[in-house]
Amino acid sequence: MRLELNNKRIELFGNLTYKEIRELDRYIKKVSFNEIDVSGAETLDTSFIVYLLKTNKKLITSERQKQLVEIVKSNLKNRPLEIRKTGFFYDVGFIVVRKLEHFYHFLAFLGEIFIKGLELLLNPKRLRFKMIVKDVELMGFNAIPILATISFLIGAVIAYHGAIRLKQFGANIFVVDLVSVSVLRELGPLIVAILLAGRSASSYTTQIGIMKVTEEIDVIKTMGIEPFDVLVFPKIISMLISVPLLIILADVSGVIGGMVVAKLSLGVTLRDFILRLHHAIDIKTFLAGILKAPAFAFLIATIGSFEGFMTQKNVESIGESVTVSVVNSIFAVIIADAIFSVLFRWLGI
Amino acid sequence: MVRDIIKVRDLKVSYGNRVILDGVNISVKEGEVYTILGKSGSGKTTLMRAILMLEKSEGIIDVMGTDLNKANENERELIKKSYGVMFQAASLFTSLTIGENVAVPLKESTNLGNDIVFDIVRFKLSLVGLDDYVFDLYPYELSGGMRKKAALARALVLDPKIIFLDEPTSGLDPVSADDFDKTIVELNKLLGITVVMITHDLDSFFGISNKACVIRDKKVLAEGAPYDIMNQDDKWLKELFFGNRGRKFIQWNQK
Repeated sequence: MRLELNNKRIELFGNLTYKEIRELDRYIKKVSFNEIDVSGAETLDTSFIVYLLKTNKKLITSERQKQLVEIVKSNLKNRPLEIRKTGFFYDVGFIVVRKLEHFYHFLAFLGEIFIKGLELLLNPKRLRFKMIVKDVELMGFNAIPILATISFLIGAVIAYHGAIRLKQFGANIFVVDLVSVSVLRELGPLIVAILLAGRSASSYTTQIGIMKVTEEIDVIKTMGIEPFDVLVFPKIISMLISVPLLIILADVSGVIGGMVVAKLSLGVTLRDFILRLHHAIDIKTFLAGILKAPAFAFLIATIGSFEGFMTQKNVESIGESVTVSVVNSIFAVIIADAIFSVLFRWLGI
Repeated sequence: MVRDIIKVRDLKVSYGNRVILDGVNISVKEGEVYTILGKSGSGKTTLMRAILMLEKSEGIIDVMGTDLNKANENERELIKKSYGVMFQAASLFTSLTIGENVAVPLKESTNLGNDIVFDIVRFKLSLVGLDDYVFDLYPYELSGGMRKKAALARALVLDPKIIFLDEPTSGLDPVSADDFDKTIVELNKLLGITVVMITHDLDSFFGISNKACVIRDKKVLAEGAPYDIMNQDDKWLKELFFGNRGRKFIQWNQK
């Protein structure tokens, strides 16, 4: 683009396209002028014409360009665009209300699960056994390697940290109590719950969310199938099956981790370890951990599927839902764990 | 003599062992409305995708004097800037409003202020026949026809030399389809944009295109004016034009 200024008239030559608008914009702000002449231009695109017309100055064009300018003129809007702007307090209030709404929807979802669960109990044939088994394989069985590794390491780390202190008192054997009680009561169940919150809740949310975006859920509804039968109950039941089994695995592999470290750094033999284990824990310790399983399973499955159903019909919303679902399910699991601790204390377990 | 804006010679595209197109030759002249015709699965979209540089191909694809298969990255970028594309499913960004969708190409290739960008976007929306109120709406809040129009506006925002339309009228009611055809013709006449489109719609085929090719068995069966194509001796084409739907179309037009 080439510019010339004569007698308050800007003459433009060369290629006038969207790329040159900024240059002209800068120039125009510096000079005073009444007319713009583009008749000498080689090319002229519509974006450029929009800009020229918006300057509200007289425009001189060639015959050929005139037609194009007319088209732009006839389609140009002079009314300012109305875009809603909001203030800080509005935004804060909006977010609070939205969170409350979200929680309200979750309660409604729980209610729906309850009602539809009762219907399902009266009609057990509607249960999808294949889906449940498939889900147990995906979410439970396939999680075994990672879960065994994590809990083994956790057990080992606890024993290792305890070892340094216990050695000072010559109370080496109590590493058994330390590892077994903490893993069985707290860490085993919690590791399983947090792992599944990341692994399963996210995948449930994505699955249901994408089905919602592609309107597959509407298809299921129009076929006369209850979406909860296919999408929610199999997940809840599969979690109810997988979580307790995984907790047992986490318990065993955590204690083995402790056992290995006890042998290596404290010189506690396997025989001594197992003998001591009989004194350190009883069935109550195990129950205190495993009783949390149904609650964790239920929370993970419901929050995972609930966030899926809350997904809006756009791609970004899926990502958001998955984040919310993982964060919320971990949060819920930890809250539930705290409540259980208090509860068990009262009950004296 | 109008120059060829797109010239494809001996194009070969294959996915693994499966050859989709083999020895395809087409020529599109500047300012034409060019239609690619063919059965579902015949490779029409693949041909378009090869020209759009979305598909690896062998042979010559000459666009405005540049052979795409030999050009370097910069030249290819330049060609891409002169394209406007509308995919079959409209493919608007679902997390952006219509206004933001149309503004994406402008914001990517310039650093203009919001005011002028919005003015340009509103002009383009009005050009394809969409009102101002869609500016703040999300794609899922619009009907299929409006989404297609918004996608067309996005394809047009940089005043491309060539626009590619993949089944622009599929899924539209006849009135909207007519409307859409009219918009395309207007743009073609007013802005001198070359249009390359894939369509099964006989109305669009006879109504607005001045040249067409038929893809059949990995090759171009025929290339020429729509009425010449109609008289080709080919089973599928006979079925297309003289089968149930086609015959009605021709009868109606003669009335």
